[in-house]
Parts: sequence; structure tokens; C-alpha cells
Amino acid sequence: MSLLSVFQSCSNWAPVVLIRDSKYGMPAVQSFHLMGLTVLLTTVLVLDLRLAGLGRRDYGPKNGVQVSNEGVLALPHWRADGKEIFFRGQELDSNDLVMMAADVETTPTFRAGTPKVLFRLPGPINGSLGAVSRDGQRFVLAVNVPADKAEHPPGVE
Amino acid sequence: MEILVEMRGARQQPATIRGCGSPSFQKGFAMSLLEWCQWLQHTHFATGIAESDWLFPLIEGRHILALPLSVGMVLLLDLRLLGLAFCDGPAAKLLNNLLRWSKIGFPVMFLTGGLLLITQAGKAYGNAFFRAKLIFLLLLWINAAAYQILFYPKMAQWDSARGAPAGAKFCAGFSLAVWIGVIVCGRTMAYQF
Repeated sequence: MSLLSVFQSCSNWAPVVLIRDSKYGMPAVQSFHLMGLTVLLTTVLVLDLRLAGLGRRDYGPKNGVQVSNEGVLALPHWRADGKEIFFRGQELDSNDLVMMAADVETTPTFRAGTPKVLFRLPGPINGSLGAVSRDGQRFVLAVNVPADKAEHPPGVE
Repeated sequence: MEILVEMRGARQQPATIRGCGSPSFQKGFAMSLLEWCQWLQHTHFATGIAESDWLFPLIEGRHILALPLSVGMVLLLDLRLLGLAFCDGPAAKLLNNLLRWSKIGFPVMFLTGGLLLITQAGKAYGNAFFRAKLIFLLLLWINAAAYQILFYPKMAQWDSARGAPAGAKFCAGFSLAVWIGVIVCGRTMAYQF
């Protein structure tokens, strides 16, 4: 059986004739074809754009947003709800620990408000370790304490 | 040149438009809009596209190729908001990335769609599927505007912590269903001409 005869028998197959002769048969089939094409092409396009490095916005140094112009020593930390960030500010003269906070918005684009001082601890404090609770209400910080002023818990010297 | 036009709702008295000049607005808005569509269809620009061996298929091809860049990007976002795909990252990031491409896709889609329309404007005027398509597009615009106003500004609050709120999911499901309707109407109307 030649290829032409296969095609001819396909086109004369009863379901095909029914679709072809129906008023809405062909539009319905073409609509499904178009929807399938859209899904397929979109998937391929997204993958291709991603592989080409064009499908995502780069938030690297070129596109970074400056939050503070007075320097940051340590502990940039995002509050759990994403509306505030905390960081240890730089106090060059006294080396006090200055905890700063800035309100931020993430949609439609990242925007930061003017940083404000949350609290100060008298220096010199050189430690940079710390953490902030999820709600941004509690701070735990590692600081250097002179041995003669340290209060040791039981069992620790 | 004389064109015989059969008016909808006035089949007993076919109207005659002499030449292809500017339409008359004396017979009411509906009739003048039909006359305007007829005039548009018979402009040199529209007939040039319709009668060209390669221009009409080229424009139609661009129209279909713009589907992934426009409707396809919206469908991906709809699936993400419904929690059916791309759930491993924030929806806001996906939205921003997809929006960049749909800003290219939709202008191409509407431009090529407009060019295709003017070649059949007179026939499209009375076509029920074309009218349904326009209504669907209007509903989609309202739906997108509602999402932008009600849910987009608060995306940071619900994006990472939990799934999309019920309202945002409704917008996504509605968009998905109506876009399918737009495609079906767009394809079916061509068979009615």
C-alpha cells in the first residue's frame, strides 16, 4: 500500500469525515491543536530563555539597591514577613554596637526606607556574630567581655 | 464602484453604499459601525493584505507565534497561582520574569490581530464568536486589573509563607478558563466567514 493510499484511506475514515463535515468539528479540533501548541511552545520558550540566561532578572551587584550609605559591619537579616531588614551599623569612633533597621517593600520592586537606629551597646564591641528572632523583636549577639567582669553560669569558667 | 451591503436586522431592505468614502453616521451607531467596518475592509491597505500571497499568512503566522509570549506566559502564572506548577519559587519572581516577555508578546499579538481583523472587518462585525472573543478579552482585562489592584501589592505577605489567597486563585482560574474561550472563539470565527 502506497503512502498516498494510506493518506486517502485516513481522510475517508468515518470519524475524520464526520469532523470535516461538521460545522464545529474542525474548529474544535483546531482549537485544541492551538492550545496544545501554546503550551508546548511556551514550555520550550521558557526553557530556552532560561538556558540562554535571558529568562531571569539578575539581582547581582549591577542591579543591587543601596540601603545604607554609612556602612554595614555585620548581620544583615530579613524579618520573617519581609517588611524590615536589620543590620549592624558602623560606628568608627567608638566601635559601639549600633543596630539599625530599615523598612522595605519587595513588590512591585525592592524599595528601602531610611535606616533608623534601633539600639546601641557601648563599645568597643568587635564581635560580628548574632541572630534576630523571626518577628524582629529579640536579638542575640556574641560580644567580648573582659574576664574579670564576666558572670559565669554554674559549671563554666 | 458600488457595494451592496446586507444589514443585520434590516434584511428586507439591503442598504447600498456608494464608493468607499467616509461612512455616514445618520443611521444610528450600530449601522454606522457596520458601515465603518465595511469601509475598513475595502481600504487599499486591507485588500492589499488580504490579496497578498504571502502577507496574510505571514501576519497570521506571527499572530500564532506570539501566543507563547503572551497567552502562554499568563497561563504559566495562572498555573503557579493555582498551585499546579512552578511551586518551588515565589510567584512574585515568576510574575516579574514572565511579565517582561508578555510586554513584547501582547503588542505583537494585538497588532497582528488588528491587521488580520481589518481584512475581514465587515464579516467579523456580525459574527457571534468574534463578539464573544471581544467580551472575553474585556473580561480578562478587568480580571487582570482586579488582580493588580487587590492582590499584587500584597504578594510579599502571602507569597513565601503560604499559598495564594482564594481571591487570587479565583482570578487565575478565571483567566485560564477565559483564555481558552478566547482561543476557541478566535479559531471558530474563521470558519464562519
